Amino acid sequence: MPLPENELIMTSQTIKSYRQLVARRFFWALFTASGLAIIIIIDILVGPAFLNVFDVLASLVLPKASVDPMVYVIVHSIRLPMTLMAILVGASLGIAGAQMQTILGNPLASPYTLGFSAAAGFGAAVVILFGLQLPLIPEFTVPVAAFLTASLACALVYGFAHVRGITSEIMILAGIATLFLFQSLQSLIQYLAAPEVLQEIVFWLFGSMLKATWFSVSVSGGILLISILLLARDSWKLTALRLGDERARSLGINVPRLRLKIFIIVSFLTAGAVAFVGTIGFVGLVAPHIARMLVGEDQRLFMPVSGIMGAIVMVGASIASKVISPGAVVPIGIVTAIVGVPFLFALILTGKKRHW
Amino acid sequence: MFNRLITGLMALAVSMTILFTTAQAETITVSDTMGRKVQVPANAKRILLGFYFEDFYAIGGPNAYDKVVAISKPAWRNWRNSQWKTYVAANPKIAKIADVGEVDAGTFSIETAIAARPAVAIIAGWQFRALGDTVAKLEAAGIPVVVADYNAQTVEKHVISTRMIGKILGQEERAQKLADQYATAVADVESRIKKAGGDPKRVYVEIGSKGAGEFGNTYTDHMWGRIVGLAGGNNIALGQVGRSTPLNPEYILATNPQAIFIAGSYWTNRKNAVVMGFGVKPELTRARLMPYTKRPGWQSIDAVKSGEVHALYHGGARTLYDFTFLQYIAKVLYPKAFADVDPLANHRKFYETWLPVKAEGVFMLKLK
Amino acid sequence: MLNVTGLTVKYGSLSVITDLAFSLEPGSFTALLGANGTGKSSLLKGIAGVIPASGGVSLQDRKNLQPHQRGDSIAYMPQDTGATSSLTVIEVILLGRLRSLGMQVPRSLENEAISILSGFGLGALETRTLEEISGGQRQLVYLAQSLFRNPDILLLDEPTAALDLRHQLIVLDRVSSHCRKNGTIAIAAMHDLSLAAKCADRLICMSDGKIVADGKPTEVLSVSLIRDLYGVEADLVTGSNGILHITPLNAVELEKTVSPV
Repeated sequence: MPLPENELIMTSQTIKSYRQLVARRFFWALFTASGLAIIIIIDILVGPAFLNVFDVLASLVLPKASVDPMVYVIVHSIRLPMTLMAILVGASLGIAGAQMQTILGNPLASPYTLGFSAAAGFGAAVVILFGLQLPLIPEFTVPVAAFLTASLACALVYGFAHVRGITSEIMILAGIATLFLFQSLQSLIQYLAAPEVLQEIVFWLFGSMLKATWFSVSVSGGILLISILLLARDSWKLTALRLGDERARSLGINVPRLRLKIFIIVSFLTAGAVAFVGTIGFVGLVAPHIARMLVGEDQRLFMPVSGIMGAIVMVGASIASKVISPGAVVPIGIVTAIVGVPFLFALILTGKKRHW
Repeated sequence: MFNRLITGLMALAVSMTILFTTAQAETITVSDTMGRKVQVPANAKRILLGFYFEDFYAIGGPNAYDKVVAISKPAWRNWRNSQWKTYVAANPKIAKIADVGEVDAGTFSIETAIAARPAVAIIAGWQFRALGDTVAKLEAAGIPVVVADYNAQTVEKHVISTRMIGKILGQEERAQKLADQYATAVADVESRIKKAGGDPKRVYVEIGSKGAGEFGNTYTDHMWGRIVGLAGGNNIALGQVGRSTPLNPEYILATNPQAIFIAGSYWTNRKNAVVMGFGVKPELTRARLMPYTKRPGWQSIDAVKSGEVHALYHGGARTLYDFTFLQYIAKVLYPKAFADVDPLANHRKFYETWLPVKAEGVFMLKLK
Repeated sequence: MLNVTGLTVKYGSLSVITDLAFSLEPGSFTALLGANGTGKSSLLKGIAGVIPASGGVSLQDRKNLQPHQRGDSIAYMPQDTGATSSLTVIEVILLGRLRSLGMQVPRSLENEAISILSGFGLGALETRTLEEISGGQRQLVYLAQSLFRNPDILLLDEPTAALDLRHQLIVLDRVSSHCRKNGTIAIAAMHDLSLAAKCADRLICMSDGKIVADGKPTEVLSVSLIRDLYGVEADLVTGSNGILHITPLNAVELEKTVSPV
């Protein structure tokens, strides 16, 4: 039965506005992606060596033999791994934050607020304090320890949920308790440490891109890639979670199982990011909010754009720290916090309610 | 609260005792490095020594430690372990001296300090700052506190510290000789540099406690940084970073230093640290120093290409004999002007002349 | 044909509904009536498989559907909790056919969702998000989602709760015409007796977790039933076109002497 005429007109208008909305979101996604590409290039070009733009580009495309060795070393051994690491860590944290906010239904959820970052920091602090070293691969002792304790925090939160029910409230409570636990343990370690050791621990906690190597890039990259593939398969189910547990369940979704699966993926994603570069806050919290403002909550765009925004924040912070103090190595965790806090304030002031 | 009561009572008891026993003793006035004028007993036979253990030995002579009743043991035994072992071997009584704990680690025990009944406490400037109002408590307990400061790395403070300790120990002549030697040596370095002229060479200094795999802290205007400045070098870290931070690896490559100094010490529990000090073999130091030249991009640094990569004993700075290290650095930067100066020999001679132990080990080393 | 047998829902040791059984014809629209707390929601949730329940649910020839199998054929719309999110209205409707959605959403699906939206007169909502629309409009969107699913069975928990008079009629009208056209079976838990009597083919009345009346509105509704179910003295009048008019007069004490069917 054909629709009455005024309804027909409305329908075609609705279709048009809907297509416009879709186009607009797509535009934002592309816009942020290009933005990221641009600041990646800027990050590679910027550095205390003040290299010439052409030299840098040449070293990226030409074979090794025809490039000034110092430029080649700086670009390939120092700048490129750092930039790539910033991208990977930012994207990992952005996506982890996005999914945490989705499965827990809470705008304050992030890898940081659930205690994973703090746990990683504790693991690193213990290793640094006691001067422990793994045989064969001593330089990976700290990342491995950080990874293990971050996973421990994940297991802790899951353990609580398993006993008391896999609901958002329980997980958030358990997460906050875990956060406080590991932060106190961290403080204990700091209290026990002698000044030079303390400085080392604190420096690690602040986060630093300096530890970026091609190895850490490939490990983080691998984890990110696998996580994205796994998460993409559940895109629509995750979008449906935003309707509330009951409605999602009535759509045929096994909500506790989905929540658990995503939780585990996100924990690995976080651990993989934090283990190598230290505790970095705000990215996991702020990136999803910005993504939500730009492209809405449809996971097909929300997840990638969260990752892109996270990467933009990290790479941006990297550029900022190089510009402010070229000779020093500014802990990137501090810069992201300094950049992230005004963002958060702005979000709150501009009626954030609209976008949650 | 209870603790404070006990401490207060003890302080009262001790000060009464000291008052009665030393009421009739002579006191002298000394000026310390902070400009404080302090009354200390003449010929003090019970001294609390916070830091500068070797300098104390040099000024006081072979029996100096007979007068020491308390020291900050961790600052010697843990921070300069090879040094500690060597001195204890020469004078086993040192190991038995009371330990007041370490100020920076927060383990300083004012009770142990007071219980040792020292007549005067000699501490370093950084210890004075870290102790805060504990200093007042010590003074209230009848223990005058004087501050020496070799960390400032200035001739002026080196001289004041030396003469002050000499006065307290009744070794003023010895102290004056040491002070003069120091001042003269530094003045000599400065005049040679001035005569040599030329542009200051670019220098990079780093502490080698973590080994070549990680970039350790550099020095700007204190410790090795200041010595490099005195030696007429252009410290590439100046104005770039604050204290106790590493320098950006890319920046190091970009500024292309012409001389590199890595500070080593007796960090035997760290697998890659640059190990130096008493009883250390040069092969070990070289083995730990070599990987630095393999850092990414370092092959193209001038200092590495010309072989000017050196290791310096970290305990050598902020001492009465640090002028030998100053000479070493200056000689690296101005070889012709210092052709007739042998810093390592001067270092050895200082030990032979003034200290009860021999300087056997690795203290200044060129990689190749 | 929907067959429900021996349906029991317990919360802990407390039995909310015990051993319920009934059958519903395809294309029928049944209103589920009863006072608050008599188990209407639990009945719907139990059939939907959203909460644990014992008993059998059979649909046509598919005997004993397990809870995880029911999602394909049963659409359950819970009571509105007022919860919102920033999903757009069209996304919400599309989620009804979760399984057909992939990285690309077929144009045909989008168009179908949009036309359902317009069918409810919500075309003007365009691309608003859930938090930007009123409670009543939200109800309609969720209902649109349920209809979009083309389910065999539609379970609606108080679908007209927040709606204005006009939309109440539109909703019930759409539901019953959808059922007649597509052979869908619909059960709606409701409180408005007059509307239920007008729009539903059949009434199932519950009290204390048991079914106390089951049949056509004109056969089932009586002043005494209303008094027993709701504790309300009401006036019952059959209008000129056979439509029942129920006018509540005053509340009385509830007597628990209703015998189960």
